[in-house]
Amino acid sequence: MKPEEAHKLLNIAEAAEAEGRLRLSLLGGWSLVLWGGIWTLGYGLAALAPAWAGLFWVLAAPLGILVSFFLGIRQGRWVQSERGHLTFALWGLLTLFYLYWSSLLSPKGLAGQGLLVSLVALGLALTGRIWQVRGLLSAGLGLFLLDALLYHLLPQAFPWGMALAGFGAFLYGTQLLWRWTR
Amino acid sequence: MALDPLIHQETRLRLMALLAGLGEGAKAEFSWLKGALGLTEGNLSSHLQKLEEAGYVAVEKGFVGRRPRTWVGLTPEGLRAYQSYRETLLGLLEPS
Repeated sequence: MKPEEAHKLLNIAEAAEAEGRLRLSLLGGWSLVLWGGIWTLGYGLAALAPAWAGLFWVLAAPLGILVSFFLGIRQGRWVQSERGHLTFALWGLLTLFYLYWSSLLSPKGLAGQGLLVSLVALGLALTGRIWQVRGLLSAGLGLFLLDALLYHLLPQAFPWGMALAGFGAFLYGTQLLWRWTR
Repeated sequence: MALDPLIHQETRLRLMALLAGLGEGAKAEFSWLKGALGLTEGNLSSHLQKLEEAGYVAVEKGFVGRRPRTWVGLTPEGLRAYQSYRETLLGLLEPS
């Protein structure tokens, strides 16, 4: 066999492995569409109409969490794996952790928002590590970096930065969803 | 170095790679696999049958509620065969 053919077959195998892991780590793209949409609207409101942002988060966050767990459980009916169980446990623990800390730190304040974002960043990075999806690991680290930079250097731009990050996630999720459901 | 002819077929290579990517001991439902690989039911069944006969995949039938479900997972032998296939390909890329 020629090296070019071996290279082609290796690419096919690696692409199939990576695509399956990406698809499962992002709940078929739904998690990005859901949370990207919630973040865009929530932080967009925080930037443009702060009075409405609190109400939006109070309603959207618990609903988003419930829908995410529903999607995770539904996916677990299709694919059962140790990685899936670890991911479920990770986000379950992060949710509990956030519920505890949000009762101590006001979620409306910048410190509360910064904590929430860093928890999500940690969750993304660890999900990327569990599923061996390098892009997700990088996205988690990038979000953490953005969170820290905005919090310390440009606190007034925090909602705009997060709304943009959310919109980016929403667009990428929509693209993946389109690819996987066509 | 000889390449396993059963895995060498492109669709079966993608199927084995997808299952291997899910991690050891993972099982995927037939309809999910069909969607993920973009195959028809008949096509996927025929490839699975060949892999099952070789002992590379385990096929389990069961029910979720009242709905019949078919679960597919790589056997330890299948995982070894896939890893060996990949290593052979990597070996072919190394300069001699």
